[in-house]
Amino acid sequence: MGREVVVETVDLCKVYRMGLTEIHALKNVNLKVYRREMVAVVGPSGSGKTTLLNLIGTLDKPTSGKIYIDGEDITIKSEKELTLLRRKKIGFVFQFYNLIPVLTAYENVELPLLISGVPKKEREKRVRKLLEMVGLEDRMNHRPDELSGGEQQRVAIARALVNNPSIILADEPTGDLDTETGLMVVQLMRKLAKEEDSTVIMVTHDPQISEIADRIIYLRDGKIIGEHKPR
Amino acid sequence: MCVGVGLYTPFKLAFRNLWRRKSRTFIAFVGVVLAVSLFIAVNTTIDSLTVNLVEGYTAYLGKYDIIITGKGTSTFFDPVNMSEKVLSVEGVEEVVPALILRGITYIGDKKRGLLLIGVNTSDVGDNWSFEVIEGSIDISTNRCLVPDVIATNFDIYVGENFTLGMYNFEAKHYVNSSLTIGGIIKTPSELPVNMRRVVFVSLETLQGLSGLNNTVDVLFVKLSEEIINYSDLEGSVSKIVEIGSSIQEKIGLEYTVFLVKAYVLESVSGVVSTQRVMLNIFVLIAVLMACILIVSTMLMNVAERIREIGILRSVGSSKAQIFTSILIEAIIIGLIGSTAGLGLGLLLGKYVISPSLVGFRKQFQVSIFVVSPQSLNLGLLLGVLTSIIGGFYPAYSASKMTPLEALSPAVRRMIITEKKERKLRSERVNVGLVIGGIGLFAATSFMMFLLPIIGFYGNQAIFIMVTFISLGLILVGLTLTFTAILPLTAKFFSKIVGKLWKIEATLAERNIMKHKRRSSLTFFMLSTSIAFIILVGTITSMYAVSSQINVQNYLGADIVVYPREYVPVSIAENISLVEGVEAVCPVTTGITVKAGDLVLYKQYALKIFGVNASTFPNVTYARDIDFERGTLHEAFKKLAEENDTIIISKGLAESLNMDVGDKIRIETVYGTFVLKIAAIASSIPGFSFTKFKQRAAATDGLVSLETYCNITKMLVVDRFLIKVKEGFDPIKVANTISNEIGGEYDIQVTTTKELAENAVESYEDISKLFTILLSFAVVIAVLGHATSLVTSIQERTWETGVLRSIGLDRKQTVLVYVMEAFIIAFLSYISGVVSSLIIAFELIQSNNLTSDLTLPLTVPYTLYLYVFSLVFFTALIISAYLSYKTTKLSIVEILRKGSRL
Repeated sequence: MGREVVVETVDLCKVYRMGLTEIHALKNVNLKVYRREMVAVVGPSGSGKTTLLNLIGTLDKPTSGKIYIDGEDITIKSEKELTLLRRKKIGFVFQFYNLIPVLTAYENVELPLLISGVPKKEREKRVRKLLEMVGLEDRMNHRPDELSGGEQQRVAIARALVNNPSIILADEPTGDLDTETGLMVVQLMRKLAKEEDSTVIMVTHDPQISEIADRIIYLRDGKIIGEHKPR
Repeated sequence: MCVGVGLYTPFKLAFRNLWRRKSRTFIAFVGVVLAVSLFIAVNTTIDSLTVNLVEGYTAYLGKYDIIITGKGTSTFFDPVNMSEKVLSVEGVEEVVPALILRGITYIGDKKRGLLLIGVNTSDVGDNWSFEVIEGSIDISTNRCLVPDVIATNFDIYVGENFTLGMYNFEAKHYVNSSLTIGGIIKTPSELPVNMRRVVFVSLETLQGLSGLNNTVDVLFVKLSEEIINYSDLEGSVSKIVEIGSSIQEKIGLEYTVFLVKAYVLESVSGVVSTQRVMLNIFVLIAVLMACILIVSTMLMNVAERIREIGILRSVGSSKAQIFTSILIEAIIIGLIGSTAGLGLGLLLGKYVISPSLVGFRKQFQVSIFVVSPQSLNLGLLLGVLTSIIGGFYPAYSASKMTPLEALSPAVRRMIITEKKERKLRSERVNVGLVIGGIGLFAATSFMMFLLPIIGFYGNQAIFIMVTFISLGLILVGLTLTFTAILPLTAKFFSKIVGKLWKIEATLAERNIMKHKRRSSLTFFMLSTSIAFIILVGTITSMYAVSSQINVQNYLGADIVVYPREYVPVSIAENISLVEGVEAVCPVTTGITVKAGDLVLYKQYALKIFGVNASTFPNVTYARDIDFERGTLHEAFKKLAEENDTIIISKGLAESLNMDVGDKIRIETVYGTFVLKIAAIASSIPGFSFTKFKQRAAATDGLVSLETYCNITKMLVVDRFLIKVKEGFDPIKVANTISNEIGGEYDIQVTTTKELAENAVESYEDISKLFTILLSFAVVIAVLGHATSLVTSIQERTWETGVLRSIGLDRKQTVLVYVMEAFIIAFLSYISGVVSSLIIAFELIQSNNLTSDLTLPLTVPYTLYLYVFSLVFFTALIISAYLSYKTTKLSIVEILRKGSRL
């Protein structure tokens, strides 16, 4: 039985112009990511990993090429449609400052549901469930500055999953954490993604972290130079 | 940074740091510019007003500062000896001797009195600068110069001879001489106005004619220019008095030294100092706002650079060096702002503030605008001082931090938690409560004890200043209270708004509270400045409305005709025939009597007026509610139908414990009379009636013309009260009366409408001026809000990116920031309005409980709208624009920018 493609890029290119200089961040990247898969994108600094993530996550627009999410070409969508897409299909986990500092853990996780207009009872149920899943039900009324780095990332993961997105995009999610916590966070992210039927695309420098993924994609100078399945 | 280096490096770093946050620096700079320019505008205007008033008086009183004469008439003295003595006094610049005598002229067959002044021919052209209309200024040998006014009056021409009769002191009898008119001149301005109708002859001629050889009877003294300092009139007066005393000592007590200029300066000083104090209070409010703006700006600067401060401390910078470097930033803002404010201040003073002063008095016309270096220097100093005071606390709090505190947010959090825990310890003194208690004690002591003392010992200007400051303190107390409860009001308000925009309202409220100090400072600035402008606007509009009522109350009818000579009562008929006149009521002159109970156990002074009881109700502004038990018409019907009846005021009736129908005894120069009280009124416009028994003494009473005649046996009309028909313009009717009746009798016609319009116009001018002055404070407060918004949006750039990445669209993201601006603007506007209304209401109650003229609470809607627009639109536009600019970038660009910040 064929696996469902969640994310597909076709000849994806991104060029940055800095004055007269052109920087080709991505050069004809062709990639397929399948449902419930955890993909790690690794490569040296400047290889285009974050750019790839930002394009898939609709945070930026490609110079040329196509991106399909759940079969829809997102490169032809309007700003309004992309906003809706981000609400419904994409969840982000950044390296740091993921959370809104003035909102509690509960409120941070609740935020995407509020934006989507989900009724109160349903929101409550979903938020509590996710906070339980990440083991922070006792800390739900604490603000980010009262949580440790690992706890903050777990809240970020809960927020990323709260809207049942098709894909979770994590940019160096363990970059600000110690090794043990980082491993724990990524394993949690993998477990929850599978439970929630989401796909994870993670950018990382850390080889230990990348080994947790189902597939590792190697990027250099804006091109995919190889793939590897650790398990 | 400053290790081992002088001030160059700190200044260099300060400039760079200020340049790094251009918008915030610019806003703080504008705040200082506005405060300094307002100071300079107000004070140069007052300086100019001083000069204009002094010039005006000088034009009236002549150019000489001191006039010396002998005591008594016909006291003459040696000019040379006297001038020497006077010139020896320091400060005396020149002395001009003159001889002033009265003569009689015979021109044609008319005999007229004439004042002659003999002056040194050498002084002509210099001390006596004549503008020749005809002839020449040659006054040698029996030639004279005649002012044009006299030439016209006497019908005399150049070259004509006329006979002058004068007492000759040598011959001891009148001697006739002939004088030739050498020239006709424009009335000279060197002399006081009452001495300008003089004929000028040479001193030798007049001495010869009067037999007073080598003597004069007056010395005109001019002091040196430096004595008069327009910025320090009181000091100038002291100097003049000192010089005058020295002159008196030198010449002896048998001469009078009249200090003309001192009297001028003293009267001007009183008027000007009151104006200066009053207007500078408004300046003070703007300066206060500018100071708070600097505090807020510098606190934000310090907060952003806390890590940098930590690094500086860790590489060896001392606390003093950190303190200096931050204070220098504030000083730079103050210096540059003050310099820029100088030019703007002069323009504002000349074109905006000066023209508005006529609202206070018509004489306050500033036609000569002077620039006083003292005001400019003070303005510069003020700007720098304001920024030093404003920068002090942020610099101090930055310097207090240890390197670890500055570098580590975790350590800072720990210290904050420790401070909170220390506050909760039971043995710890509640400092806030102590400060509040001391503050309350100080404020109450000030009001209860100091105010009366200052009122007793101080002059009017100081009393006004203290009263304004007391009012200001009460207002600030209210706005401080509102600031203290901002967390509650913000939460409550955001819950209401959150029904529609939950995310935006929640984020806005939380961010306001996260930066509580910044939000509180912004809120306090806005609410206080709004409260001031609305309170002052409300008070002036209240007084504008009541000034109309005052005029009505003073005059008592639409038109009042005052005869300047005896007129028969019957001219009321003539007046009633004038087109537009509906009714006329003559009012007699008042007679002062003693009024009391029948045994005069209690007695009060009372002034009785006689009125035409039939027509009075038709002309008066009095209303039925002013009368106890009955209407206006009923009261005067009783007066008309029953002889020996009187209408008295409620205050008098209560003091005498009397009611309608009781008998009141009056003692007059014409005898003792008993009158029955026909009615009791609390107010009858045009007369002194009161509802307060505390003011029972010196009220008025009204009787019919017949009763008045019975008492005084005569009828002298003081005025005629006139009602104008509906649809007729009172001013036109008054002019008709002036023309028709004024042709036959010498009368003065006054209309309530014209006086009321003039009074309201004055208040409108005053209100406009006050609004302009206080707008500066509001604008500076709005700039403070803008700074806070700019900083908030900048520091939350990353957060903007995160919000966009999780699905907030651009509009919603902009609304998050707009909501924050809106909450602060709205709550501060409401608190400003409520604070001002509370005080206005207190003032009204206090006035209405003790005054017969009630102050109405008027709401100056235009002002409310103006302030609302200024505060709201600025806040909304700035927040919308900046947040829109940020969200216009792609999300990844926002996140990149945010990570850099």
